[in-house]
Amino acid sequence: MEFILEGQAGSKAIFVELATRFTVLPGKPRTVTRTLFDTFDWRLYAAGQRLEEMGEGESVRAEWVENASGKVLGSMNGPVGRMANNWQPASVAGALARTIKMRALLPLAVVNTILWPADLLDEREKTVVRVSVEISKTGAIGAKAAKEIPSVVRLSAVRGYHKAFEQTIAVLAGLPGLTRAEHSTLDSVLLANGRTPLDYSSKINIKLSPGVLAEKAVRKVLGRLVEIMAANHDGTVANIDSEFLHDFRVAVRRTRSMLGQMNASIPAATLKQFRPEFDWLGAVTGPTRDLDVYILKFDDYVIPLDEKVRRDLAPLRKHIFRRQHQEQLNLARAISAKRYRELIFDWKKALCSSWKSGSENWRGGDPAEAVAGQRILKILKRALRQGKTLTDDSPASAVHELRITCKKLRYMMEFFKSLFPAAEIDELTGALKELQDNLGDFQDYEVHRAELYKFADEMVLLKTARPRTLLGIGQLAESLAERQRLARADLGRRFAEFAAKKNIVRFRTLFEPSKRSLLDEGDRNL
Amino acid sequence: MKVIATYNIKGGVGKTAAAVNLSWLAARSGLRTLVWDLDPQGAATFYFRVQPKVRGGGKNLVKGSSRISDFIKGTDYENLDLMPADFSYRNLDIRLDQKKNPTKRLKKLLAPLKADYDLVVLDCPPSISLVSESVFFAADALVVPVIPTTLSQRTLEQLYGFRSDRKLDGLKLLIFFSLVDRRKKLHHEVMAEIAVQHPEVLKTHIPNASQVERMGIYKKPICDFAGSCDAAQAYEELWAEIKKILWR
Repeated sequence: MEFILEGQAGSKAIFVELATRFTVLPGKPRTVTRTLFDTFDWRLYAAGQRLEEMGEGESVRAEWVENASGKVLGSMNGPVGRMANNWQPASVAGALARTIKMRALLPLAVVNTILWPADLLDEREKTVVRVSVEISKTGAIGAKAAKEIPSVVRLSAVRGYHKAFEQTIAVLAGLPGLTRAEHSTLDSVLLANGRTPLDYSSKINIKLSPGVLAEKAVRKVLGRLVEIMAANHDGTVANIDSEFLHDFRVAVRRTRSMLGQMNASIPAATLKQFRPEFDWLGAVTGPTRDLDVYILKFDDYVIPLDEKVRRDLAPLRKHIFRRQHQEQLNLARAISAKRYRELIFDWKKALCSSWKSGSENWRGGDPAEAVAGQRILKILKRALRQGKTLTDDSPASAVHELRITCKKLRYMMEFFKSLFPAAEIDELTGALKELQDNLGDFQDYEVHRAELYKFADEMVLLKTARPRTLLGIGQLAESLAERQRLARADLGRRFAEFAAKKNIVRFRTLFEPSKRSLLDEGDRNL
Repeated sequence: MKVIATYNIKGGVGKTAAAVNLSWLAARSGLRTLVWDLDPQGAATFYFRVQPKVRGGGKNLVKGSSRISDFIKGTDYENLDLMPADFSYRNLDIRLDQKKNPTKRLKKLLAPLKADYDLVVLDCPPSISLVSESVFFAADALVVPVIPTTLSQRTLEQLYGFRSDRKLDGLKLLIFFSLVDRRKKLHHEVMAEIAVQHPEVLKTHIPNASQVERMGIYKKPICDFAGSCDAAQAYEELWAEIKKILWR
């Protein structure tokens, strides 16, 4: 709870006023330097939390706090652990991981505060409320904290003494020069440093106007995707956390998918120039991402194994980390090089002006709804065909093909989402996601099982695997095979649910122009 | 969430002083800590200046009609909360006896606090009773202060015997010497003897210091008002030993 302090009211006047109700025990004025942290995609802010590193003299302390209640969710002496698992004890690390997952905590801004603290005591001389008058300046990381933010009177409740807290609020609310803060200091700090909370999302989140030409819609979506690549480029090169590469790579994959699926709305020369380049970008980002996924899933993969076997697999874990490190260096080199910079520069330029083509197959001048809708139904048809021909004996490659088709379908639905009724498209995307989760698991087990044999060969060559580690790898491969069998056994049910008649009718109603007009008609009649 | 209990069958051995100082040190190290003062005398509650009152008393807590979280009070220290004592705790045995699985009741009461605290310190009344049995089931470790006298040696053996009878092999016994008078030959002899019989006894001794008694005057942990005195230093060393065992 904060009050904004305006005018001349100083700590002395405030404490005198509070002394009419409580015994005020003022502490020594302190100077505290606070560094605020959040993940790149604002996971703490979105959850209504903040994380600060507080330096006072020699001591450094990290605190994770719930904004609304001021409740400390976790704290530790020493600097902020950048990943959730750097936190102690394990219970706090686990709770923090549920909010930030695999993301790193990054410094947002620095705040230098001079604070005048006081404890408010009851008749038993027990602290019942904590008050501090705070004058702060803020700055970006690495810069001088020179920007002023409003001075505040901060109240902290002591658990079990809510009545005293309410009485303190009542006293302060009656004082001239104090107004109850509508925004937290965190918001003031971000604002002063030109930071906009929640300014990054990996979602496409663009609004296409009804009737927009296909070529324009395609350029707009591609423009958003290149923006996502740019936002994640530096974090990917620096390997801050695996999510930077994830978002970067998804934007590349979506771009490639758009170039393939909407090729009739993109000039042939543009396709000829950029498709091989984005294929290259997909190829150079693939190996590191595969190893990242392996690392993220490793702990889950080894859960079913005996503890002894898990210990035997420690060298495998180390090997995967080492391989990831090597591949990360290759990736960083590739996307720091001229080829990448030129690709992005040229691509942005190509997206700036309207596209035209003399080709008789050119659809860029048609409304995007019609072109995208037709394409979506075509991919759906392919997915249904591939799914229906799957049998228990079908090879893993056939399942993989269905997975790729579903991915293309999902991307197309996301690209053009804003042109169709949101509720319907969300419902269909949800149904598709259920199927995709199963296909994704199946494919991960397939690839990761195959990779295990490769890792074993590499470790034998490097002499880093003892026989018991190799035996453990065998057990892990068998465990993954079992999981894969379970995923495969569930595929039939998931596909049948997705391919249910009601879903197909919904797809056709949504994406077939003639049916869509019926839907619009229905909307009007409602 | 780890649960420790300061416990001894005997009274006046320094249980509450240990609970208050160890919990203060835990909170200072960044652990979100709760002290539950289970002793109806309410000494820990007094040291933290909290009113020894739990509405509905032990009866409602055991019955399940009130929740611990409704009565927890913040102390004067960050990260350190207190579940106050209540005079009705003197009948806690009887209340527990009226319930099914009385020895598991305390563990059940603590379960909802898992997300809120990293450490719970139970300050127990002396004696072996249903309350102490409940504590043994709820705790990861008993922190046992022992005055180095012949009689204490006997009560220690009783405790080992009790743990084995109840098949509580997972319950750690963190025994340390308390109120040690370095001038007394007997204290040295008994400590040497117990250390041979029980090499797991912690290395730190808490001296018999007048400063510890002054906790009642200041109503604060000694580690707060006289952090550099021998006793406070000894508690710091004791906490370092316990922390290492609990989180290894």
